[in-house]
Amino acid sequence: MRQILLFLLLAGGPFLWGQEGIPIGKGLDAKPLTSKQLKEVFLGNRSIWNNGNPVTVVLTSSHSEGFAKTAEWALNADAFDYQKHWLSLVFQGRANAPVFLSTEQAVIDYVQNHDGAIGLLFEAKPPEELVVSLQ
Amino acid sequence: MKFLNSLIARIWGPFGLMAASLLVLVGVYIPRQQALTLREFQSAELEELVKSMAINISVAGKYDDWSRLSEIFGNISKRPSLDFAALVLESGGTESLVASNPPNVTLADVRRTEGSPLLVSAPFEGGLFKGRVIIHGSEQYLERELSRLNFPLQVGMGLIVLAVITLYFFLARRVSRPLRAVREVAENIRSGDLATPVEGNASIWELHSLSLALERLRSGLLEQRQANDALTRGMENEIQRQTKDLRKTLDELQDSRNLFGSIIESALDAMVIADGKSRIVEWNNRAEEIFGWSREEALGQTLSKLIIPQVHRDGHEKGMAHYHATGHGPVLNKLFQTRALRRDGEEFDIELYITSVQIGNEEVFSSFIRDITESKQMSEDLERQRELNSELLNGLPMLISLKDKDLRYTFVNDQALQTLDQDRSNMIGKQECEVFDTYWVDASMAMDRAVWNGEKVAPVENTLERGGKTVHYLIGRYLISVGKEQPTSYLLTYGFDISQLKVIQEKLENALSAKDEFLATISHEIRTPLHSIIVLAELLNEQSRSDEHEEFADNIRTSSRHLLGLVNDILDFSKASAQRLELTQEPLNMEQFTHSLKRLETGTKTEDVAFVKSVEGCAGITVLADRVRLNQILQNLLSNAFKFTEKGEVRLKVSGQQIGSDLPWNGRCRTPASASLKMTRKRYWVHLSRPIRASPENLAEPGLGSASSTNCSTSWAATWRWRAPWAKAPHSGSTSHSPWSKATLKLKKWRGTTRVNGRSSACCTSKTCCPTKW
Repeated sequence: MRQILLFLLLAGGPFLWGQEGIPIGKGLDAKPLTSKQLKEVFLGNRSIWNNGNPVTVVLTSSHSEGFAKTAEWALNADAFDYQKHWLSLVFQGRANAPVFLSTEQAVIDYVQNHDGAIGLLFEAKPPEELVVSLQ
Repeated sequence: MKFLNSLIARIWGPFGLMAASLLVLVGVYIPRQQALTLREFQSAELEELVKSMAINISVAGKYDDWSRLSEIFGNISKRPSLDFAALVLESGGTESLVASNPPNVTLADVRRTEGSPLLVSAPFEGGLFKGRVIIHGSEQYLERELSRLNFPLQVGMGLIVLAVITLYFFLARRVSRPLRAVREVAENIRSGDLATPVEGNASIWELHSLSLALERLRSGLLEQRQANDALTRGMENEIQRQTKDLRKTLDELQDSRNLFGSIIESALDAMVIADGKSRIVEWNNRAEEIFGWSREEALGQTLSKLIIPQVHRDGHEKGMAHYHATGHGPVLNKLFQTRALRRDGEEFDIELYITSVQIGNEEVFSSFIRDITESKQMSEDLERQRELNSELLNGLPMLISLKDKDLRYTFVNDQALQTLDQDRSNMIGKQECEVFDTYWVDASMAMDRAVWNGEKVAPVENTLERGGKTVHYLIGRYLISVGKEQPTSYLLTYGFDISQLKVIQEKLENALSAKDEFLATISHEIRTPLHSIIVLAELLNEQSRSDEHEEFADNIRTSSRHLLGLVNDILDFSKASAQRLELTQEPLNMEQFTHSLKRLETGTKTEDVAFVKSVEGCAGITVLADRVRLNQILQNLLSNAFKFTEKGEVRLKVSGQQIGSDLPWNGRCRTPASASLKMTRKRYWVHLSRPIRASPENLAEPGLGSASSTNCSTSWAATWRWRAPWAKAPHSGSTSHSPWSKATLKLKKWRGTTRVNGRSSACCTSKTCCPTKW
């Protein structure tokens, strides 16, 4: 199973690499996520996984480059607009607030310890078991 | 149960007050406080919430710690107290609504609610986040909460109201109504209505006892009232009668007081009331006018100081002391005259009446004072006027008497007393019939009564024997009234002595007769010569009688002259009648004048009638007379004498006779006509007479010259009258001649001197010419 996932990750790796980000997560849906689904997750439009775990988006610091890349990838906007987007969602109760961590390692650690958490790594090498397989 | 009712009755007042207070507390105060508290609580909650939101957003922006945001914002939609929440970010000076909950809120909605007490905002700034969080509380939430909170209160209030109403009706039936009944009974008893009995079925035992007590009281009072009614009615009648009498007495007293006051103030006499020490206690208006002291000045002053002259003060003091010692005052209750003192020091006569009145323990003296200065003067003037009137009436040459309505004499003047030969005391107060016993008394009194009855009675003529002579009186009567307000009438009887008037009347009648004779004579005298002139003039026209023309002309001339003389006499007569005959007065020697008289031709043959003149006693007598007129008179007399004497002689005899110091001078002409001249000392009387025949035809021919002379002499010497003897003693049927028919000529004796041959000479004898004796 693990090999399959790794395969998928590797198979899809170029796609994600093309985006310069590797999504990682734990306790997500068994099925691989599509890119659109992944973007919807990082736009805060999904709050619970199919397995019942709450969706927790883990992001690096808003001043970090990864955050800016994530904003550009997910919203096609800068970091401040992505922050406002998330603040709007949280203010309206439509999504759980994302978790900001200072480093990607911290993101990895967080994801490893929280089911339903999902992050996006641009620099650190993710553990294989945390890499989210994509279709 | 009655005890409980009593208890309720006792606590009714506080209970009602507490119930009302509770109603106010539950219905008004507590809901209001709840609303305030709830609103404050909501405001505090909102403020805490918005602050928490702002802080967490700031933390999220600054430290990327969003861990609390989900917790905070996730429950916003669940808060019923919120109407909305909005997130506004500021970027570049502009605000933009980033998010809201519910999502349909716009920035315009937010701004529209600004100023609302339920709008709360809090700023935040952290990282890239800068803006403010705005939340607005829900009004509906407050109302719902208040309704929820107030519901039990409203229920409780309703229960209270229900309890109060129930208690009210309970108390009204059990307590208030019996109490009202008791109060009405008490009011009835207090107002005197004892007929309404007290209901004794009160459920409260205290009210029941009170009702019974009131009923017993009402019954007792009713019995007492019935017992007192009879007594009261009797007393009321007595009181009414006494009250009526008392009111009448009071009214009379008040009227008397008012009358007394008005009498005092309006009295014509001064009224001064003094006490036993002669101090003035009352001083009326008239006293102010008389004495000059005002009431304020006079009150308290002593009589001696104020109005009693110095000379009478000692007497007054002694009199008062005597009265106080003996109780006898000789001047009290008597009207007497004395003198008083005015303010300016003038003393004047007064009439004084003093009386004493005992008022309580004090005796006062009332003095009524009348100023008699003017009345005294008026009395004196009246007395003088009365004396003057009496003197005037007594001095009048007529009889005057006054009679009252009983025809009694009240006044008889001296002339009447003297004429009637009576004494005044014998006439005053008596009627005419009581004084006189003559035939005319009854007629006189009848006329008096007629005048009293308002009839007009013409004056009547009466005769009285006085000094052996019959005196004629004209007696008149009329009513006179004396006084204005209450006139008194008197019958005034007056009598004039008209004896002289009777004589004058007789003379006047004679004069009228003479005038008639004169007119007849004129006609006769003019006709005769005129007839001759006419006849002769006709004869002159006859040529056959030319030899007689000269004689006719002479006759015409003679007749014309005679006619001219007559005309002159008529003119003189006219002048004399008109009082315009001018007479010249010159000294005339009567002796010479008599001798100068010549016989005039009257158609009588000279040889048949001789003219004889004799003068006696006239030597040296000179009178003042108009020679021409006197000559006319005597010539007329002589001409008539010659005219009516066919044969014999006409004798003119003039004589003088001295009597005492007088020098009478008489002249007489006789046969058959005669004239006499009589002179006295002061007046010379010329008596001219002619024979008077008794036959009326002869009486009508006294001669024109006589008539003319009569008037001439009248004007000349004031007295010339023909005496018509037949008027007094007619010789009816007799043809004998009256030897003397007199005509009187009054001449004045000349007083003075005349020039004779260039020398002054005395007019007459030294005695008669003495001017001092004329």
